[in-house]
Amino acid sequence: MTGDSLSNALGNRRSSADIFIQDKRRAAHKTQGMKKMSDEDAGLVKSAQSGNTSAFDELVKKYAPKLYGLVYHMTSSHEDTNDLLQEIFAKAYRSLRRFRGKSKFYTWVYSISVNMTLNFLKKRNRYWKISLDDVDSAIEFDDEFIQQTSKVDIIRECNIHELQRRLNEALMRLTEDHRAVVIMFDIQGMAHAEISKILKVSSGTVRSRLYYAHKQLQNYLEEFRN
Amino acid sequence: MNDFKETRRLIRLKRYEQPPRDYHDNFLDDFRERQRAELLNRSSIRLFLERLATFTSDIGKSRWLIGGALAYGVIAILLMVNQEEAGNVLPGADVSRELPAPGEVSPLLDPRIDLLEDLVPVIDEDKGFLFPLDYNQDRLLKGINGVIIGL
Repeated sequence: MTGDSLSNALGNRRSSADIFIQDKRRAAHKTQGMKKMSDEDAGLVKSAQSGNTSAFDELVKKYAPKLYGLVYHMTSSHEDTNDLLQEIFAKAYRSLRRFRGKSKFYTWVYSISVNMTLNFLKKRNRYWKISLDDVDSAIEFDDEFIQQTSKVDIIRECNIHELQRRLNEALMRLTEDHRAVVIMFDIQGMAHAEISKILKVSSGTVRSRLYYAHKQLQNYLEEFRN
Repeated sequence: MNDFKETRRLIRLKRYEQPPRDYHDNFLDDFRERQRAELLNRSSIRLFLERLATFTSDIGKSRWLIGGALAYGVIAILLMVNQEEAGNVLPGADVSRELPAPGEVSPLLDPRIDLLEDLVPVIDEDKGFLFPLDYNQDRLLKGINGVIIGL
């Protein structure tokens, strides 16, 4: 093994370890945050169940942005996302009395969202129109974006909107089940265990879906690889 | 997983796609407004069906049990209604027999005689008998279907 390849290999191993540690830290941080959040949610849910509509409003305010992300990336349409999100919260409100608190409210409302979105996608006709949100200008200061644009010529050459379009196309080529897992894991930063609870599948199934989804995405985005 | 490091980094950039700035601020107001409008515009049947759909989707696996019980209930009610419409006639009972000739039956049992009109009984205190309300001798002697009632 030459010196270069050895240092490359060591570099790769270090970066792999870094990512592993980062993921672990992220999961631990999220677990702490989730516990605090679920305690707050339990109070709001109880209050909403006893007829306090402003408590439910608080829950809507809290989860609308997160659920928006999930539904938007699944549908690639702002209009469809808006309609679906309204229906999701309407359904959550109607079903709230039957929520017994066996799972966290967060998991429960996410499950409703995923199921309703998957049902919607099955019914949506093929003439649907993509309506993508604007890319936040903060992307230009994102370390990962800077790193990618400095390394990969094609990203440097194509503008942000073009990159957005291609990423979106790649994501939409995945099956709905695979897409849901990628969105929750990669874009929304959820842990495997959390995703498995939401989708009501085993953690192994989540990992396997992620593996195949990443493999497919890698093929679709081959030109963007360094 | 780390084999897909670059792909994951690229996909993660999608989080920068954001709705218009005031979208989330207005969402709650839109939600409330839409809920109210839908409640006013929807027919009661649609509301009922929607709530039924929500209920059945929430009860999970036991919905099959409840569905089965409901189906049995509906079948039982239909059978009961059907039996009542058939006139509570036991299977095998002969209902097609012709009516007997007038002379063969007591006038009291003859359905063609309006007993209420002709034979409303009154007590004659002198004679101690029951007579029809419009009692008269001629009619009594002619009798009904040849049978003399009272004396």
